[in-house]
Amino acid sequence: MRILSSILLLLLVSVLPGCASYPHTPRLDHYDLAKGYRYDQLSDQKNSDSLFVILSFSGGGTRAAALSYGVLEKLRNTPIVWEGKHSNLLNEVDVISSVSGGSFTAGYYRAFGEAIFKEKNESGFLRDFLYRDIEGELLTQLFYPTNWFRLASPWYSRIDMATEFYDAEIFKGVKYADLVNHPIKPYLMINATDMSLGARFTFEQAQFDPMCADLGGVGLARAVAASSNFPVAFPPMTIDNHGGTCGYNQQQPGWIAQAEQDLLLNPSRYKNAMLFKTYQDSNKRPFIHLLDGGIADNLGLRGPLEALISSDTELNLQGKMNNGSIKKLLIITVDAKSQPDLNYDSSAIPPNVIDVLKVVANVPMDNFSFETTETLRKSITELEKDKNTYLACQSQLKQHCPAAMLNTPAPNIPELDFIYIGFELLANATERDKFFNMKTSFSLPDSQINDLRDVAKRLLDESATYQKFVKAMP
Amino acid sequence: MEHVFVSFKEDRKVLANGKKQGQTNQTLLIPKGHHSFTLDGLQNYHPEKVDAVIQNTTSLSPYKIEFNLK
Repeated sequence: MRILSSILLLLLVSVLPGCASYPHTPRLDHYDLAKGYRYDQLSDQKNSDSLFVILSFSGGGTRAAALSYGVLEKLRNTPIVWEGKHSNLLNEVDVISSVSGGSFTAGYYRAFGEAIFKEKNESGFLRDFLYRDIEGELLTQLFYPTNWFRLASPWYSRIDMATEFYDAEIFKGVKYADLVNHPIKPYLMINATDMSLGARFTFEQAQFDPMCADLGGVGLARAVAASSNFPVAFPPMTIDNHGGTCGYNQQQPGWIAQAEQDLLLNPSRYKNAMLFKTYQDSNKRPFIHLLDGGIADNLGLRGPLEALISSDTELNLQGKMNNGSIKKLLIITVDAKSQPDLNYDSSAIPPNVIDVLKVVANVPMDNFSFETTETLRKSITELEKDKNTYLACQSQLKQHCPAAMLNTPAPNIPELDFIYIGFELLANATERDKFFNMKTSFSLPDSQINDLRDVAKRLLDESATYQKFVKAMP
Repeated sequence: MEHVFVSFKEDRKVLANGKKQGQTNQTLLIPKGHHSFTLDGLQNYHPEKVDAVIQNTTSLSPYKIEFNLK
């Protein structure tokens, strides 16, 4: 009997790790622009195109999830009248682009809508994620003997284990195909980082097309896990690349061949084309490894920014502005970043290795986030300047030479507004430090989560742009 | 950001690199660089397509492209 048990145990030890694997990414049979999770396939009666609202949610663990949740609550409580229709501002959100901790809020809202606002005593976002010790429960998973066997497999890792936990406990098995079958807004852009390229990797079909992969078969939990796949805490997530098997390479989007000629003229356009092309050859890159989206863009703002300044993206805000469908564009960025520690300089003794690593990991990310918001502000200013120059010229002409007219019409540039929500906007230094010093973790005390939800509402209320927007409502 | 004005006798959708980018006889925003312009719908126009390098334009002086009925 003892021999039989030993044989059985040996068999389990040798067979179980071999069985465990990450979930394989389904192959796309045919590249088809009319199918899959794409902005242009959405239709939503309650959401107008003319008021176009984009939210971006940053990384920062539960701190970021709670801050972005507070913003959703505030938008839901902001009544609006748009084109004669009574609604609230949350119903007008067209796009949510998110990273890491912010992706839990974004993904849950898109998957379950208003159910995200269920009270803590019911099964919902508050109970299943926000006020829960996710970090502790993930650690507990490591002590389950079945997981020891599975984690011994080279094809299965802690990030796959976390994905299964998020899928069962938070996202209840929702896949992208479910979002395609229920094509309402907001359009969800969950962002991770392609480890080899150091580039943004967005969970949308346009990103999966060159890999001939079907996003429809991918769980929302997997996208959120990739987006919040903090390096070292978790290993990179593996996804399969089937590039070259679905006809994409024969009919790739027209902008790619054009952009390949723009190395000197428009280097960022050229770079985007080159990045896309790396996915097309599954012989060279049969697998893609993903890390936390914060490494490439910790605000989740880069996607919307590129859509504003370039027509090459899936979202293509330029095209929507050109055809006059957008009258007002509002972008709200929710940034839960913490503050760099300045205490290092109070001592002559150099900071230790851990402190140096913390700086090396966080400072470039914060600098890039700053640069991203600055680029967005400059792009908005440039567009407004364009419109105003045209209008000023037209007005001068009307005044001094009424018979003459400009020989081309003004571009359709809508009213553009940008709201930044971040702790640095808090005037009170003690309060500011309290939020800056909240840890980055998937477990925070209830009191801190309550404070984060409240401060999000207050920061939005105190925003001059938000006040102007609300005041302009009839 | 650059500006393009595509003129044609009819109101048609303008395709930039095969993607809808606005209407004819409107000033359109487009990123700096190489582009290929065509019109959506009937192929009753010429030239068949216009390849252009778009740069140094303003809202007052967009790059002008002309399509004519065949």
